[in-house]
Amino acid sequence: MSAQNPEIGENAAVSARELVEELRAVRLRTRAARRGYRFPLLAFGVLIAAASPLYATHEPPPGLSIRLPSAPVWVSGFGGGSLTPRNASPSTIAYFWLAVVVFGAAAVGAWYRRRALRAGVRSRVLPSIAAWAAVSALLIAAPLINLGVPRLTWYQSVTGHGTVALLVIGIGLCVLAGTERSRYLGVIALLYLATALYSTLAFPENTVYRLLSLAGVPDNQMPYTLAPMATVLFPAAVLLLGAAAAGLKRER
Amino acid sequence: MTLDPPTAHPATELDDVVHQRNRLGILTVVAEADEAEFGFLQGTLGLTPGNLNRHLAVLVEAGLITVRKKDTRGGRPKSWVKISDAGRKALAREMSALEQLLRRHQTGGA
Repeated sequence: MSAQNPEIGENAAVSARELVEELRAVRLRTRAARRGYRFPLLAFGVLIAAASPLYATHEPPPGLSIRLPSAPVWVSGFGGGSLTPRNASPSTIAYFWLAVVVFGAAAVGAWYRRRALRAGVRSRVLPSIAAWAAVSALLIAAPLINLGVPRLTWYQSVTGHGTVALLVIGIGLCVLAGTERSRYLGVIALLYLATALYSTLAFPENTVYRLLSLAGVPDNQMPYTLAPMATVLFPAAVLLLGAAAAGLKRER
Repeated sequence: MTLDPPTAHPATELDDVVHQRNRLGILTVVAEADEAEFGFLQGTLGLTPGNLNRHLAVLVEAGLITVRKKDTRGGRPKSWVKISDAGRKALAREMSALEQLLRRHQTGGA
């Protein structure tokens, strides 16, 4: 049809281009109104930072090793090992993290619901809540199923430091980045997961000692009891900085 | 010598139900969100309530969206619009036809 009349073809192409551009603008406006990931970053950042006093250590009396009572089996994964001379027992740490995951997921769900009613456009948040619930259930079920047989090595390596809840939170945030279709949230969630993995598999306090040593702090003045708080403060900082930058991005 | 069969013009791929500008806008909004409220659609697309209602009825009739009415405390019930799988597919087909049309024009095959 338009092959015979180039003017008609030109008009069709111009109106198609205008339509595609208009639809793109509509999609971006809807996306901006729908997104609400600043709150989950802020909420989990604050909750994780609140765990830091639990990770401070006390110095055991010379010549004594202190073994704190272990957490009940069903929450043992969240509490970690009992050999670190921390101020909080594995039970306290385990119940704290369970409360953080449950309360955090509920708060994020409520936030998105409220936001949908106010903005008139709803985001999918159920997949993230399902991810938090499913991974937590797996961590609770694994030691129960495994009772009486040698414990799984993967389970021991990810739960030993009492920081596995950081990974649980990170998995839910990655799922949220997918449903929010946000590259920014995806980058923050991956950065956070990297620091959470570092806390889970290594000792972030060593980084603190290294940095302080570079700053000229002598060994006898190192904050040995407070430095282990970096285990949760590093990942919390990623989320809080991510929330702050998301706020600035939105204002611009 | 054999000739390649003539390819259909992308304009023939356009669906009359979906191609209407406002209906395409409605589908774009509800494809981006899990659900969109009537007032949000109206504001975003700049439509009157009557006009929006008519377009929604056409899309519901075609099975491309569903509309759920939800009571609000003390207020009028709100209508939430959700895209169906058929709606998502129809939108994807439409966008692909539009992009083909543009590509064809850019390569001089209008």
